[in-house]
Amino acid sequence: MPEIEKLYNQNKKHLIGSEIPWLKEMRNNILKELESTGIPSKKKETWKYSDLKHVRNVKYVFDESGIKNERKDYFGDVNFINGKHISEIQEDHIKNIFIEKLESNIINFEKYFSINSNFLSQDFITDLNTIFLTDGLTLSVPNNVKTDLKITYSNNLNSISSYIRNIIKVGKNSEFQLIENFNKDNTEDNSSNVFNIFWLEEGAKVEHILIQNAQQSSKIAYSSLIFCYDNSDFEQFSFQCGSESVKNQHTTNLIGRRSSVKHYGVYFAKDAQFVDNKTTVIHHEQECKSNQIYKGVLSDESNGVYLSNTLVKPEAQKTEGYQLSRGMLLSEKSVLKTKPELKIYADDVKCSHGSTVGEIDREQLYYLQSRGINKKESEKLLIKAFTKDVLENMKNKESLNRIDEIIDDWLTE
Amino acid sequence: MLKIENLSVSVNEKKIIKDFSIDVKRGELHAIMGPNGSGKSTLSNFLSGREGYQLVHGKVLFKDKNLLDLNIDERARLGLFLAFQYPVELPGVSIVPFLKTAINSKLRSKNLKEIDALEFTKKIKEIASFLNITDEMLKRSVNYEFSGGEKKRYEILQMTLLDPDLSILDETDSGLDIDALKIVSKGVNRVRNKNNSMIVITHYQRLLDYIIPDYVHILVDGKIVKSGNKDLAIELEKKGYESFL
Ligand SMILES: Nc1ncnc2c1ncn2[C@@H]1O[C@H](COP(=O)(O)OP(=O)(O)OP(=O)(O)O)[C@@H](O)[C@H]1O
Ligand SMILES: [Mg+2]
Repeated sequence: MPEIEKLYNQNKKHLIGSEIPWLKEMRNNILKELESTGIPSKKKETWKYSDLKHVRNVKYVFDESGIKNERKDYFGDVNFINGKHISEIQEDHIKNIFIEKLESNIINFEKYFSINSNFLSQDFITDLNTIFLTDGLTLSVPNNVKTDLKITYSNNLNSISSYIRNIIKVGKNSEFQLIENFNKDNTEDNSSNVFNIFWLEEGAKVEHILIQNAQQSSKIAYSSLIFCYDNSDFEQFSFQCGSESVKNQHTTNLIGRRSSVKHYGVYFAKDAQFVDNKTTVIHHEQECKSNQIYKGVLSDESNGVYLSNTLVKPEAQKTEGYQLSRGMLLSEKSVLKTKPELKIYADDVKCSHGSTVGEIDREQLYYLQSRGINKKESEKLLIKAFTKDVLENMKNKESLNRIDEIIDDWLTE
Repeated sequence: MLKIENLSVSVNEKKIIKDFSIDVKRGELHAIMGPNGSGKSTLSNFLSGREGYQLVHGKVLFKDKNLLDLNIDERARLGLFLAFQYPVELPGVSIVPFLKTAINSKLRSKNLKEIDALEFTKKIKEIASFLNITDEMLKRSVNYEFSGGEKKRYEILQMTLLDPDLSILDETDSGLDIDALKIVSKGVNRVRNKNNSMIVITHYQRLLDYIIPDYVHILVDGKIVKSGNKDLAIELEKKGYESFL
């Protein structure tokens, strides 16, 4: 812990919002809190199954030498390099979306910053994000529009740590597709900590696609916090394939009636990779629906963790909540830990959860081979089939194709 | 085509196939009939290369090659096809890409070039309509949530497409209604020619009215107890297995 404080004191002047009193205070409070509780360890319930690589060796590097305004072929509409937003487009509107640098607007955003102390209390990952913030944007989708945006995260220097926060507001009855890509690049030892907060106003519909396909030596921590007002609908696809360690957490608050959320996930890991996902849905209001469905394929000595949670508040009558975790282990040394949790304080609810871990089905493999398809090819077909029912819900076909290609590469490597 | 000599096979230390011999020549269709548990599926599964069966003794030559030296998919690519008694469901494996992978695996192994996408689609559609398989069904996952009869018709579709040298049909007629039985028989007869061979396993003489066998064998307790022509099936239908025990 003293290291984090030391790091903070050394870099204070580079940090976004360092002159803002409320943010300074917030950062000091986090440091104080950390001092008394200590950094996370396996003894803490929330880190029991997690990879402590995200805790050890916390870094903040100030190096802006790599930030150049050159367009890369993987670029999206909005791009971050080495933790900094590349503002090549001078307009503040892209595809109908009003975009502002968090830095220029941070003074107005106290409420969004204190949000994680209310909703993700004492969460080490988002606390680090608050302290070491390198950049971020506020995206505002107006009412009654249909639009989409692609954000990319990449690095062109080694040993960079990014701490990015985006605040995304989607106006009434708008439809918004947000695609976030963590790119594979030729750098080493980078870590990213991204924290996105979504506000969905009445009737808004969001499809959020998160593609984490970074290079082997990278570490990614991604957090999302979602608020859904009446009749809004948030659908998330989270896909992992690549990094040495990923730690994601997604928390949805269904605060409006008849709002709904789907947390879908598909992950692949091999070698000694570690993929850790957690989804939480809190039903605050009546007649809301939630789905949390994750499927993972693990080979070699990889580790997977998937924790899902449904919390139904006393007011949230007529809730429908569903949780499913399925794992396919391709090697005896791979390990998947999964734990569904369900806390229900209302009486009129329909909730269920299930979890299975298995191997490739021998009968199915035999059937395919009996048609002349060799074993390796047959296994590939079955692995892809395993994840298909989750992925096929994705409306953005470009992303679906990209994921398909990533999986194909993974299977041929 | 297929020559089996003195074959004994056991499952979990229990001998199921006992000194079984057969010689299926090119262009011939042999029917094997036998009571439940006599070893018909064991024989077909063993020939296809399924694991869990132990060879006790015997020899199996397929197209003059030692069949038992090959693994499951090599046997299939060499030209062996088994239409399963209980086809496995493959949720998430779409029919068309699956069939394409299967046919291309075979073509590649013969150093032939892969099938043209258009030609392939045309071919599938034509076979499917011949077997009364709807376009809607072709969009689904392999065998997944198919009815019993649909599964059997779909096995015949695969057989037609892969055009094997030797087809083994394990009770392809069971569970079929009379119309489906006719369709399936029509499908089998379409594939049958003087260059390929078939082994048709069935409980019912009725199938053999539509698919006329050159030989009929009666299998009891892992052994062929009697062989003859199609009249043997009629005799069996009248007398039951009792008289052959
Ligand atoms: N995996 C196995 N383990 C133990 N016994 C087995 C196994 N497979 C087959 N058997 C036994 O071998 C015998 C032959 O079974 P098989 O399925 O070959 O019969 P069949 O002639 O196909 O019968 P049916 O007409 O009912 O399909 C049966 O007694 C069966 O119980
Ligand atoms: Mg049988």
